[in-house]
Amino acid sequence: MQTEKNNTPNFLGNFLKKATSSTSNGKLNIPQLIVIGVACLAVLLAPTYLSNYRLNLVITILTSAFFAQCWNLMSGYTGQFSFGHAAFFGLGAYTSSILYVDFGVNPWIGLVCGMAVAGIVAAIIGYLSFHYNLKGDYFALATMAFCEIFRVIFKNTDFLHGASGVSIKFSKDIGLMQFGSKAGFMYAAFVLLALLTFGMYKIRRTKMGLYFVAIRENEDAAKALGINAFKYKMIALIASAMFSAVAGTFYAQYYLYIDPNICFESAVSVSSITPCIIGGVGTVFGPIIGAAILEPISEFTNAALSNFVGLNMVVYGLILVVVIMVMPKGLIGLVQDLKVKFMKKKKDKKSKSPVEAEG
Amino acid sequence: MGILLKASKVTKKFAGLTAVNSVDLEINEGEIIGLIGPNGAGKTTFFNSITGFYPATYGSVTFDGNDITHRTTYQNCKAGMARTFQIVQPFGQLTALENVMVGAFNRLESYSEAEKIAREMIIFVGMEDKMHAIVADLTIGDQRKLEMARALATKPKLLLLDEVMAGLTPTEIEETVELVLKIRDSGVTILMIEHIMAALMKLSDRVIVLDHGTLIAEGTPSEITQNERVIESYLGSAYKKQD
Ligand SMILES: Nc1ncnc2c1ncn2[C@@H]1O[C@H](COP(=O)(O)OP(=O)(O)O)[C@@H](O)[C@H]1O
Ligand SMILES: [Mg+2]
Repeated sequence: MQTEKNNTPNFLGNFLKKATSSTSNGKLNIPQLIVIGVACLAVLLAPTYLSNYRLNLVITILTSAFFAQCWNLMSGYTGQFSFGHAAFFGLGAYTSSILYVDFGVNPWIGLVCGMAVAGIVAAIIGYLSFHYNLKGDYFALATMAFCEIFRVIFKNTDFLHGASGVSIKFSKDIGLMQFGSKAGFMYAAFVLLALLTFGMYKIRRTKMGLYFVAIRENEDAAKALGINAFKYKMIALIASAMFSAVAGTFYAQYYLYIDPNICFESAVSVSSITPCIIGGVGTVFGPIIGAAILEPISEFTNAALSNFVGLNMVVYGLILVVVIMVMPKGLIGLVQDLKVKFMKKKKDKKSKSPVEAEG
Repeated sequence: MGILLKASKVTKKFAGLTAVNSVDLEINEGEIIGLIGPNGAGKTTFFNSITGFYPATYGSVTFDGNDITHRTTYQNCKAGMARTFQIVQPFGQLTALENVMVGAFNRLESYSEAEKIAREMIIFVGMEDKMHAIVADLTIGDQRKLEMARALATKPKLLLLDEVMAGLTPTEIEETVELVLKIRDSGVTILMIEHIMAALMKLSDRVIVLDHGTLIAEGTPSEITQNERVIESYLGSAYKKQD
């Protein structure tokens, strides 16, 4: 349909479209359930067979997958490409950390406050963007700009600890949201990821979930079918932001140090996107698969090239580009496409063979 | 039989171009109205104006007794207006069933209820064998039918069809004519833009003609085909095209 503003550049949106797999709604079949069960078991038992050093990698995978899952909700499901998810991550991290360090507020309460702050900021960004019909690349740029504004503000404001950042006192008290050991943090990260992923799986088979995806697929058609696109985009954005804030607080509590770059750098925003692209945008398990592939690679390039500052990022970037070229729809999309091809071949053979038998 | 839709002096201007110029139209409940006119006459723009896709520059629209001039598209759908698009607008990566379910959710909350209604609608348009096909893989003809099913699933009072027969085979056109009659018999009022005159003749209770954004004629199909101005501006060329 011709709309009045049909000249919005939508490079990212088009990329997203190409990267999005179909049939992400499918009910899980038994082999899939077995794979999931085994994977969960492997993670849950990891402390018994992995060193603390390796457990750290597992934690990184789980938290990275969680953060990517947040992005997946708003950009993968709902199609609003965010390039500034670091903003929500950072707000979560900063809110709980400053409340704890400067005001003695329990981090568990800080976590909730961080979610609220991120949610409110998301509501403002969303209102301004969606109300004025900011779409496609313009929306992505707006989220990026907001994020950068936060970085500058946090860097230059003394009572937010400026460029020197915030250090959090080490403790072993779960009441202070520190989980005692690597294993403790790993279980906490696992629970967070499992809950969010289960939610993403369930919501896909609800009115709201289908509405999200409909907006991604075709906003004009969605509106014509009675969908208040503004409302549902706001819900997706705010929910995504609030969960991202959880990721931020978790990060702060685990590493016990944050600063404006760690929190608001665009690399952080990118880290919410890449696992989805590698695993499969808009799919339930894409972010997890992507994180499980990417984090070890990044760890490896960091270690192997630790003497060459920056080269690790170059190599990591190259690997990313190659993977995207080989499987533009991520691993899940690739598997789906292969499956479709395989079925077609089988079908062709079946429809051919009787003819051959006759001949 | 009450008036379902009343458009008064609806005008839509695009930067200097008046695409729709002061169009008045009343649609009674249960009617099938045909809307014809040459390409670029403003037919689709008229649809967009009354459904709220882009608000009219002047004029007013009442629907089912309410002033809807300033309402948005989704509100109009909730009120009972559904449409198809001249250029199909599918949810490409979703299945046919899910596409229609999006429509069904207009009146429902429950997933299983929506699934049930969507199934019924897909069977209604005769596509039960494509229930779980990914819509991007379907033919244009099927995508058009599916758009009708999707629109019907919203349980509209008024259905606006924008060239649903364009590009279809004669058999498919025949089927679509039957389908439109079936839809009307189920109690839905229809306003349809169509170039296939034979089909319009069969279907329409009244035909209105747009040319350069202006309503130049209105009447029964046989009155319209004998109208000098219509022949001159539209039918002449259309008939020529068919030769
Ligand atoms: N979004 C738009 N912006 C500018 N001009 C438009 C837009 N949509 C339609 N038009 C113009 O309005 C006129 C009517 O177009 P349209 O309603 O699509 O005609 P029809 O459906 O009768 O073929 C055309 O001249 C077209 O170029
Ligand atoms: Mg048109």
